[in-house]
Amino acid sequence: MPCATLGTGAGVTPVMNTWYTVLDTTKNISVLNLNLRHVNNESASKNLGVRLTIDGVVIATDLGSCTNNVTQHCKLLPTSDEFNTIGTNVQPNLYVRLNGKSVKVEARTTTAVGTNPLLFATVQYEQLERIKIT
Amino acid sequence: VRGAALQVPYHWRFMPLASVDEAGVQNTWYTVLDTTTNVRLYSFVGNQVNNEAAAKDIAIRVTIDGLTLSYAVSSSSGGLRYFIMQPTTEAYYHGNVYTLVGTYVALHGRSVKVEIRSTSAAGTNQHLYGYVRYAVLGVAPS
Repeated sequence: MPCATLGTGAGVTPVMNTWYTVLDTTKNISVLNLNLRHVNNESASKNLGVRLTIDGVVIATDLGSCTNNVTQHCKLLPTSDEFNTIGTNVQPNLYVRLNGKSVKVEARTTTAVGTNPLLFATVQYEQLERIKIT
Repeated sequence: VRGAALQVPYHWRFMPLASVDEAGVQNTWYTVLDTTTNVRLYSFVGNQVNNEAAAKDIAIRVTIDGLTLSYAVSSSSGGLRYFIMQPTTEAYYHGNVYTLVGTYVALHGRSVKVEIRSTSAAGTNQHLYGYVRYAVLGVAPS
């Protein structure tokens, strides 16, 4: 079960409105969870955005104001191509894995970043592999 | 070659959200997801609104591998209804909290069709909404 992160887990120093790739386009995967977090010296809330591109469907959401150093777990809405977030760990398709033949995940901040900002994001996933049957 | 099998891997393809926004003519079924093969059904949501903010009776019907699962919601009052499968009957129930159709799991079928209707007289500027999230099985890209 690979885990894709920004900056190999150390996060990235974000530039406002710049997308950062958490999981580059990957084939035949099941996304187990998807979450974001940010920190800055002022402990100020910042707006975060997430974009999931799955089999040509783009699910992009501005998550709104996110509290400093609080992990936001993304959950797919059933009526529109958007996420909302909850404070507890949940799978992106609510209790089941989100499967796709082609999946890419990106994250960004959409407000001024503050002092010493860091943006974190994590995607846990499984990938289908071919096995030899004899 | 005997003793060896050619393996063809399959995987789920995430599909665009299927949705309808209909006038809600009384007792008319509207197809939200037309008959589709090899489906992984994540969620099915219905809703109705009208200018009078009046509650209406709505019903859903899922035809899955020849089995018909249906459910009628009495006096649905302009809020999202999340349909979930009943464990004891071939029917659905509805809740106000987002829950997957199989109650926390996806529902799989070789042939799946989803419909919605209103069984009440339509109100002014009546809208009947249906949404289906699903994936379909296909050969995995190498």
